[in-house]
Amino acid sequence: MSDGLAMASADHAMAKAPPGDPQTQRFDGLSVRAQSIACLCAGVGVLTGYAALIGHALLIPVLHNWRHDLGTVVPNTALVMIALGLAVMMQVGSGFTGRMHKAGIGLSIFCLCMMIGAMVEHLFNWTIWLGETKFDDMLFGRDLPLTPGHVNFRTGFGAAMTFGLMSISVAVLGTRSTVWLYISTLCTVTAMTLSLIFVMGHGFAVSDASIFWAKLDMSLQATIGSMGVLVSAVLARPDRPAARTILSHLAGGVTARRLLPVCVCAPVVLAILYSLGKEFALIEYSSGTAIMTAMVIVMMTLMVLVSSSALNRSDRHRRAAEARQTRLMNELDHRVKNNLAAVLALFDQTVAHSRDIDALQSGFRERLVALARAHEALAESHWCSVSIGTMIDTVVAPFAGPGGRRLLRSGPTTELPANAVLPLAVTLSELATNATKYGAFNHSASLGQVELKWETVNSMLMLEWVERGGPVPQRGADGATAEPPVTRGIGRRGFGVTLIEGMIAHELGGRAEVRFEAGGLRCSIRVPLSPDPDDTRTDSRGLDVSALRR
Amino acid sequence: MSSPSSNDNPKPGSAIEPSASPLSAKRVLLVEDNFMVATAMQAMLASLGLEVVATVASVAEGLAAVDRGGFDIALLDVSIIGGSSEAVARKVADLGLPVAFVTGYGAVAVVANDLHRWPRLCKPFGAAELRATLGEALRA
Repeated sequence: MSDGLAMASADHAMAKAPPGDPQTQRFDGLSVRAQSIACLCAGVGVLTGYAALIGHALLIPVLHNWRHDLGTVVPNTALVMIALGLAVMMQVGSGFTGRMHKAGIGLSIFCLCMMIGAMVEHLFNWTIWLGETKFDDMLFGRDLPLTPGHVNFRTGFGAAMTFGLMSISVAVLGTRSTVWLYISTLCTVTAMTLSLIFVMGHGFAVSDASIFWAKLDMSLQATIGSMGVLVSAVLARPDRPAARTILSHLAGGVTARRLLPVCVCAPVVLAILYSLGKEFALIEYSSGTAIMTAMVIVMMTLMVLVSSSALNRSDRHRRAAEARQTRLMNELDHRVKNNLAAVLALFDQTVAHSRDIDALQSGFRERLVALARAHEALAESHWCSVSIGTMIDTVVAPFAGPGGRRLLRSGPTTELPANAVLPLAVTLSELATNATKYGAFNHSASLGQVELKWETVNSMLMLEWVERGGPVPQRGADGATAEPPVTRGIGRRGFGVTLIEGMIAHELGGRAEVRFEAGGLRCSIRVPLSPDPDDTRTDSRGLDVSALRR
Repeated sequence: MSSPSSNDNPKPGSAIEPSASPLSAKRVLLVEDNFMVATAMQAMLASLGLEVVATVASVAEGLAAVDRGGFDIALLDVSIIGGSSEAVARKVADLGLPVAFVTGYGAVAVVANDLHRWPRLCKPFGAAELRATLGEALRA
């Protein structure tokens, strides 16, 4: 139950989805199910009708007359019930495409004529070919005994009205005309109302209590059959407004699918219980009426409560989703501003440590690109974690010659927590760009290589960047050996080292050490991968902002 | 931090000299988890004549730094490693020292009501805005 509404609230966001997407396809799936249910309900009508006919033919009264005070399904009513059920089934086959099914329409019109004939017989007290005895003679070749409590075997006036209206609504099931649609809806609603009146009439045992009701008679079985056909007529066209409401994936549709079966079945069940109670002298008219009224009130209260709580749940989900969206918008704003502040700070620092405008341009651009790549990798992982391999692929490999062959990497698959991704990406980018300018990735160092090793010991990531075979030292004009080129970049500017060591220590509580050895630059990094419990990285409102905060 | 804003300021700065002068030689506790931003803020504070006695990134480090003392004003980023800097701010306020917040959150209320009397500076910002906010914190 709650799943249904939860799903409905999730679908709420997709309500405006354009046609052709999964939303529509799922609606179609539900439509197919609705049409199957329509066929089943029509089948109830058909079976009730067949049972009554067999009961008449084989003289098994219980098949057409459950108990004498619940009325008899006369043969021609049974015939109409079968015909209408079959007509709905035919319309279901072609109805959804909006085409009319000719045989279905023909059957419906036949039923309409039968019922109009029955009404005419009642009104003028004629006996025409639709009349009870003649029809029965025709059908079974013998006189049938009159059922006690019924004046004749004629279709009751009420049943004729109900089935007549149903014939109209079934006949125009395939229409696309708005006018016929309204007429069909009106007929269905009126027929449904009449059926319910008869059910309640049986329940209150007034069907044969007066001449008026006797005239408007309709047996309980016929009522059940008519309800089946009516429900099937509603569900047979899932594209119509009423069925669209019922079949909707939204909260309203879920509620309707839950409540409507109860609404339709409850009166029937109550009526049967009531008459059984009377049969076994458990209740009498007044007490039975009181009990039945009380039961209706209790049932309706329960239904209201159940659907209200379901609606509340759905509403809570929606509000939570809205609140979450607002929170995410704020987080986005926060993140953009923090990023702008960080970029501004990066620019200021790069300016302060750049010799000239070219150095500023390349230094700032490379760092910004590294940040952007790390962001991209984080976004691809939904801000959860990024593996070291992915980070090396995106940040270092582009500098390591064709196919990244100047980079030798070794280490286990390790996922970096989101908070460690940006600082490590900036660090690796600093090392890679420095190696390109002055170290092992430099174009003049054809044998230059970088060995990148990492391992995790006790949740501590140890990463080693070791350069080998960088450019050979050049001799200065005075003949003295100039400083090793490897120290010119990071070493001279100082900013790269400051950035690497400061970032790892300040933001990750780790340690980075940059040394210049004979073979080239060596950088050792130690970073705790599971931050202390204090570092929950959630903000004061409980939203996980670990990756959003920067 | 030779940003234009700090260079342009002597003229308008002289107009707000009375409120700006108490700033000089103040010692600042800086709590900011982004290293780049922290470094830039350090430079900015130095250009305003303030001394940064400690720069820390997390709630735990911030609380420890407050215990050590030796500062006149605390400049706190709101969301730092370990959560919100509210606890640090309360501890600083309990010592009778002023607090100024820095945050990327815009108009959203980011700190609890009892901390609303302290000024808040929205990222990104320049040196002049930082000076104004610190002055406001000292007067609050």
